[in-house]
Amino acid sequence: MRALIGRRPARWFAVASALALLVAVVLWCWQGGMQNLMLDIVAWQRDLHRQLTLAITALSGAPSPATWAALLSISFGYGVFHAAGPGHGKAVLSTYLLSQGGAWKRALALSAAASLLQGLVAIVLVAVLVHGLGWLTRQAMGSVAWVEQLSFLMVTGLGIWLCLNGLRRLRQARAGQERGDHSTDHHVHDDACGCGHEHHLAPDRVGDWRTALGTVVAIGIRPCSGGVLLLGAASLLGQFWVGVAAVMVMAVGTALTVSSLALISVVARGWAERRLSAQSRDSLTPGLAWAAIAGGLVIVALGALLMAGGGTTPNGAPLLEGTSAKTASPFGG
Amino acid sequence: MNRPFLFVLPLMALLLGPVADAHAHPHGWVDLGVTVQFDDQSRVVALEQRWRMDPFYSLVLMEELAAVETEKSMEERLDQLGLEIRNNLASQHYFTELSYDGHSVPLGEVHDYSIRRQGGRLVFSFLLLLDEPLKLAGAPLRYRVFDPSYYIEVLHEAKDETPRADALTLRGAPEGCSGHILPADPDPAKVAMAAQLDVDETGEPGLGRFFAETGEIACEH
Repeated sequence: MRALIGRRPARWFAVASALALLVAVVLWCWQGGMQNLMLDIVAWQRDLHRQLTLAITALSGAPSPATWAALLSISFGYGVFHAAGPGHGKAVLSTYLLSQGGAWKRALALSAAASLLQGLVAIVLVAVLVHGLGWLTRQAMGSVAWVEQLSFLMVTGLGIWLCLNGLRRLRQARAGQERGDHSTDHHVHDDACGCGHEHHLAPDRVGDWRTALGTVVAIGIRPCSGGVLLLGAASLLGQFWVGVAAVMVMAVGTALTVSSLALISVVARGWAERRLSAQSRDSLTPGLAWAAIAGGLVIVALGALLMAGGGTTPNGAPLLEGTSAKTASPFGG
Repeated sequence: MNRPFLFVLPLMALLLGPVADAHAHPHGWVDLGVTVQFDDQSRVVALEQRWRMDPFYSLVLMEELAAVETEKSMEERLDQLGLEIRNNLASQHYFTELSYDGHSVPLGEVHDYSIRRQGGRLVFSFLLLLDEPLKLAGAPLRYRVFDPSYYIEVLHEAKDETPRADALTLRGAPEGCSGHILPADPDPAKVAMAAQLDVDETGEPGLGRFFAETGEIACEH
């Protein structure tokens, strides 16, 4: 027993450092080492945004299969690259998947749902505020800032919830150890057994779908102000449904990028777990619970940071600040 | 024994946390035209700027104007809008940075602002005075016009990536003076850093700065 305990830290350390290295490499590529790529992405996003604006203007002037095809392919590309830049949704999602665990199917479902929700929220916002309540497009864009704050608040809440969950799991694991189950290492968690090889995830299946749903909503409820602008402008051109189509195709593109990132998280997590699963469940469960808590804390910090940042500064430098306090863009647009 | 995991995730937080979330790329644009005005003593006195706003933003502004419930004519409403934009831009120094011989040049007031429609676009024009007339002796005068947040991209009027001849012109300039436009040459590392700063707005914000073109006016003697 003492020998086993003696070996554990070394194993944990090896696995964790490898994981840390992997994360660092990914981030290095993402933010540091491939800064040129980042610059390119900004340039592509910019070009796509311009093309999108011109494509919708063109479509409203002379609708044809060619202008439709152009618009939809540009929208798709815009969605893909729009999500390729850094953003809090992806940070929350990858932290969630990395720390809480989850099969690749769930990762895909979460990413797709969050991305599609984001598109839907933009559509609903414009449909209700502009078409329903008669707001100006600029005011509708201003409301994005509020929905955004709501999203940040929910992210913080989600993080707290994950922390509490992790603590509960930790307590359960401790209680299990104290009951003296050491001799039956393999079946400490009988309630979790019988669900195939994945039972070493020690998931709390009951609260699982709720946190998943919380994650999707917290991320997805925040619409892109660009999407709202697009829908508003399309409406003004009398092409609301063109805008809807463009935004939904955009969301599909976003889903593609976000799910790729989500899959990376799942693979990294799976790798770490396989390394660790050779150990007894007793030592693994608290480790995973700690990971869940740490992940929760990261998400809390992220939410708080975003709230602090978004609360003190509007999104840019409004040209028309004076006309509305709820301005979301530099032109007040 | 759980400590390693506790290392990994904060590491992620450290790197992922300050992600650029706001607007890493522009969501609107302005096509810029500049005329540099000289006085009769060959000194630069003002930059006349023309901002042609992108079709979407123009639409949104037109909607705004149409919604105003007054008896005013469209011309009067446009004037009113011009006033509002001017007032709001004043706190942003009209998005304009001016430097001469390595020093920043103080800007004065804005005059003669106006808004007019041009096709489906709105054009906002104004005359931005220098605080004091400036004699160009040896060193070139440089200006940059940009939205620091990079929500709006300001670039000189161009056709196929090449600035148009009327994007930068000189008025009343002495012999031997000429202006030209230098493209932006963003440093990837600085852009990455600025992108990260945007969320908490510490340090000098300004992703837009790195993507700004530079207008240069030089006079030979």
